Amino acid sequence: MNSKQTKINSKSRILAPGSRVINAGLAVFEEALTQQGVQVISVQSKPSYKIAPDLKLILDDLI
Amino acid sequence: MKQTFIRKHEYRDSYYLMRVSDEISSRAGVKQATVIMGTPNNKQILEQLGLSSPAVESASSDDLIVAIEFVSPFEIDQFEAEIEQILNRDPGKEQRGQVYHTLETALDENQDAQLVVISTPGNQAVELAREALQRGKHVFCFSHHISVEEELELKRLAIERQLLLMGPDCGTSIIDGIGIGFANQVRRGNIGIVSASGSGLQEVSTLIHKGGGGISQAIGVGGKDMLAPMDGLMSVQAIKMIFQESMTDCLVILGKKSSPLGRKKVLEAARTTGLPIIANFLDENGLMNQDGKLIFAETYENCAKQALKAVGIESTLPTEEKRAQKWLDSVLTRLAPGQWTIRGLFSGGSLCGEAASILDKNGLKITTNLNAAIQSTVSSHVLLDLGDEQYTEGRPHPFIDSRLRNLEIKKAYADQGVAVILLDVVLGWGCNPDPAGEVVRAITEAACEYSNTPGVICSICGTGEDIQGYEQQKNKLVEAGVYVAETNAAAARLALDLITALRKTK
Repeated sequence: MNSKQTKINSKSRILAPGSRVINAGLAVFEEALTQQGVQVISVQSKPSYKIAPDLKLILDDLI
Repeated sequence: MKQTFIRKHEYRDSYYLMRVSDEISSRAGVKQATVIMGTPNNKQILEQLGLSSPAVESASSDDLIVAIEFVSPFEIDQFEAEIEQILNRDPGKEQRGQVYHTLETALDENQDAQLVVISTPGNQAVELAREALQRGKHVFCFSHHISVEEELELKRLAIERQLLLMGPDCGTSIIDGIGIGFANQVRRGNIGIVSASGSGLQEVSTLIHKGGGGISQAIGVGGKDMLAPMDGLMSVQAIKMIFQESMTDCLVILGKKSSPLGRKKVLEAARTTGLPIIANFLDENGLMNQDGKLIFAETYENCAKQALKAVGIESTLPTEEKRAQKWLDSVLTRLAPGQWTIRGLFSGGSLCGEAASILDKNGLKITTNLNAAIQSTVSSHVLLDLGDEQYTEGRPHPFIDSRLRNLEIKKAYADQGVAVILLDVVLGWGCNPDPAGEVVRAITEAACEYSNTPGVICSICGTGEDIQGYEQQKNKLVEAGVYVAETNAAAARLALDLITALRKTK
């Protein structure tokens, strides 16, 4: 690896100010990010009632 | 009076279940309520709580159980409708931003997002992680129950795309100053961490903060990354990214379980940075050579001290010998002759591992669930990682939900052989808002119920900037007679000192 002088300082940050994060799952992680000023996009699937797979596909399309 | 409702084939995440449990428990006329998935472990918990019933026994792992004990005979029909309303409500909705029902749509419409956080059940998590990586996004994956084959496939995909896959089974990271998962609020600085250990990362980062230093990036890689067949795949990637993207002057490497090849690859990658390296592999530190650029630290406490020293900061971490001796003397006078064992009840797996390592190296025979489930906790020194998969299936992690540990605390008080209870309290984003209050409640109730009065030692993993407040949490514990150690290692050493002193008095 190159010497310290060639480091890229914060040019390609994963969480630059104002950046957004997608959260799929526990709301507690989403709340923690929001409290830190991160804009969170939530992926929330509906509660998984057990139904026939083909019917579920139709419902997923409708949601 | 008790009542059980079963909602067949309905999955809800553990955090939702805890919130709904709390909401139902707070209703007038309710003595206790637990809403939980019907896994075998959860059924055992309901039995311990006195909430088991034939309906509970017949529930399957994908059924939702609502078990309630009322203070007195109650109008169930009216309450059932209210419970339905509570269950159908989305408790976090008001705090939630834009909601999508598929990751694909969320990615399509938010192309600037660089990170996807995944904490769904394992089978869904693999598909989500794959999709996110294929779309060029970094992934933080808290989910467990993912096979090593799938983990390997996903990590190879991440490396091919020059991305980070933090996890699976990753509890914490601090990226660009933002805590992800269960992270603590620490100052930014010039010490970088790559860690296969979640609570280890938290302990080291908070001790660096308390010692006057700060964190550039702290990247969790998941508990299995340094084991075969990954052999450090993501750790090496994380080391490269930390070196290239941040102003890091010292690198801390935290292994949990690691293969010889994994350790070799990770340390080789670390050496190529030319930075001072402080490494901790729990049990394996004595097996490797160190030199001027590479130091092996046996404890997280020493990791933090060495890292601070490497960046020129004189550590201000306190020592505690006098206070500890005073506490030790007071406990020794009140223990009965048969009390001679340690019961460690940890929410952090690596904190449990660190304590076990310290006790083991000092000659105590320890039983833990770190490598395999244990059958009996009677008549020996037992350290339990209550965040282990066996305890968290279908229920929140103990960083969030203290109920399981509270039960274990009561069991420890009921065990006539227990001389000292060893605990951790973990603060930070995503964690229980008052974990010390939960501990105090459990020991107060247990002390009323049992005549045993074991000593209680607790370390707090957290900082004054954490939302729970370090000092507020510490004060609660101290007022309840708990000895609060400055580090997890110090807590384990004090428990060891107590047992050593007990042996001498025999």
